Amino acid sequence: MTWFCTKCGSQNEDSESACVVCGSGKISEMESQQGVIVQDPGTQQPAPEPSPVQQAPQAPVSRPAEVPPEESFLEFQFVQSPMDSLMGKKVKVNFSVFPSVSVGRSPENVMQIPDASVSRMHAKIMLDGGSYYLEDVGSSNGTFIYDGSKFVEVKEKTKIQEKSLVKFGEGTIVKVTSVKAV
Amino acid sequence: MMADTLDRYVEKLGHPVPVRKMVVETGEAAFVGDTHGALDVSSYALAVSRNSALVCFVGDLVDRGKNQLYNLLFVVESAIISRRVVIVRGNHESTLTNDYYGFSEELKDLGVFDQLYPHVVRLYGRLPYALLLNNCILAVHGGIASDPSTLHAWDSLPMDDPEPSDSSAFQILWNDPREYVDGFLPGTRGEGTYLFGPDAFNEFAQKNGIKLLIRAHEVKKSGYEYMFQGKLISIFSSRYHKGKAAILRIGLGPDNRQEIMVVPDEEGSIEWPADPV
Repeated sequence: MTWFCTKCGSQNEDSESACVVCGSGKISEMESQQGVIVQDPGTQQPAPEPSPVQQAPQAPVSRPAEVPPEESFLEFQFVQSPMDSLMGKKVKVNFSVFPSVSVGRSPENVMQIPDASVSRMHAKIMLDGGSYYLEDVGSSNGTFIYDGSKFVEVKEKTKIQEKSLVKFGEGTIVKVTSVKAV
Repeated sequence: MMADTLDRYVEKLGHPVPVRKMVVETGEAAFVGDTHGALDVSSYALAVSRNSALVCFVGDLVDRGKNQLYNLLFVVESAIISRRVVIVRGNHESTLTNDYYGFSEELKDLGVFDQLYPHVVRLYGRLPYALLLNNCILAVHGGIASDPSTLHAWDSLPMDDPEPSDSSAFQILWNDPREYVDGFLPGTRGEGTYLFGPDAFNEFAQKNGIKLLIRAHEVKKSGYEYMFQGKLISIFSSRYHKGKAAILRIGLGPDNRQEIMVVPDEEGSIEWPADPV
């Protein structure tokens, strides 16, 4: 049976003990029925930091000053965005705390993208077995990977690596500029 | 009457050329970006360019703004009066955009669409895709095309193409420069548009002896933006998107001194005869 995150509303598989989108802990049925918000201490995690997009370039997402160099991360650069100020900006997303991060327009996403053509919950990026994968989570305008001549829609979990170019919706293109998986 | 203005310019242009070439060795040239019906900006641009050896409107005279038809007619009449006024085609000088971005509607509201639009479209097809000034300054509306990569080959681009449907001509009107793109990358403005990076630009510039590319097409808050180490400038000349309207002036002497003029918001800001030089 799936459950819905009380923080961001995302649907999660029963086997997940924390929300795959925002990292909030799962709340038991009994507690949620009573309307008491108690997070399971075993899986409780710090709330995600504000959108990486609003942080200084190069800053890791979860813990700006503390990420040791051996942690897993993906670094993106915005090469196209409806926001002029984002163009060229680099964003480093840490995967050591959560191996799956959410991408979308709404603020509860780990990687928030200010673009009207990007869905509130758009895609997720997962670290799995030393490789990074991209998956669309039912966005309206799609997620695409550049194949060298055109952007191809991501229909299923698709591997991304350094130099991959990813388009979210119609107006945002990011380049994977650096990758580390430990 | 209005059709007559458009027809006279078509006649004056004569045999259409994809790349208009001019050599002007002294004085200065003014470049005006997207005006989108900003008749006030076009008037200002011409008024303050009284001493310019050349005034080039880098496309997008229509769609979006308030006085699209009058802006087009004003600039076209100016270009008929003076060979120093040149119009380069923009992506909005196109049957692809006019139905969606307001020009067709404006013409219908004025009750002249059926009568006038065929003349408008004929003019679109005759406007050059580029102006090559002194063999080293290139003005286009959007940017360079992924193919062909030589200006010489641009000379063979088809004219009288109302969209244009030719993919290279289309790219020249639609492409955008981006600092962090390698080569050419499909753009976000729709099928057939591309982003081009510094490597693609430098290769083109070197191959064709281009020192400076002047283009418009993108809203810039301050009215202009330099890219690619100053070898490319975007100029935008309408306040429709809440940014500033700017005009670029370039000295045609050996140093190609450049100056940006921001169009003042207040009325009565220039004395007549206009000559702030």
